[in-house]
Amino acid sequence: MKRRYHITPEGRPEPTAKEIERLKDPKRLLHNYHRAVQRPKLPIYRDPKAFLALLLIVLLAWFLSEVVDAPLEPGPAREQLPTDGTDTTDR
Amino acid sequence: MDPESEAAAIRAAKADPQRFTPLYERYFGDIYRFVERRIRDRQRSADITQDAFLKAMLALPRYTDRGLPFRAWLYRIALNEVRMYWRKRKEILVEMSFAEVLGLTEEIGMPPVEEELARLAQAMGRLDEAKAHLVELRYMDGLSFQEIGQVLGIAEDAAKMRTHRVLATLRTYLSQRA
Repeated sequence: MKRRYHITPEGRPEPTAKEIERLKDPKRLLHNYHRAVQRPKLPIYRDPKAFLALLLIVLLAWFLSEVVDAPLEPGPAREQLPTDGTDTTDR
Repeated sequence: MDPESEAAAIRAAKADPQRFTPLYERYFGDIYRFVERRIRDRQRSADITQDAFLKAMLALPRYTDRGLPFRAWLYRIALNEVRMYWRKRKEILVEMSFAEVLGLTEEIGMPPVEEELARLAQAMGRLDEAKAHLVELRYMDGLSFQEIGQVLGIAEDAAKMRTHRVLATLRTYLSQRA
């Protein structure tokens, strides 16, 4: 960020007292203060939008958990080979 | 507002935010001018001033009176708001009048003539942000070293010493260009 200075004989005209009076707005300040410090009026579960969003998240989580936990489809049965060396073939 | 009534107003505002209004009425003009000198856009300056007062109201419970001017505490909050606004800018233009730099030209021993002042403006443009703040707070806003210390979060002596160093830097820049 570059800083530049401009020095002129009269400078910028200072705001007048009348202009400053016009810009004062203590009511807006108090309103903004109360809005900043007040807790939300409705708890999250009573706010319809927040409730729907929460419900959606819960359903999505349930669906994902169901998909992940579902047992895999059993594949075609494979013949088990003996491991002790005995010959099981029909003669 | 004398110091005693100011302290009483601060105590009252701490106890009940509705009673912050006298402090707002008293200091709005000072803070607005402080912001407007830096922002150069009156409506935006009014919004930034309003934001600074809101931050001050929210931070007031943590404010401790250490015998330092309350105004300087407000300037500190306002300067932070101005810095946040500046962050989005690539370049800052600060306009100053001859009257505002008169003290500065006296301190660095240069005649306040137009040609010299143009060189001074260029030299000031070479200062980094921290140094520029010192010059602006001292000469453009006319703050005491005690107030500058409060605004920048440093001791009064440190503010004085750093300002003198900045003046020395400016003298060097000006002599390089001569």
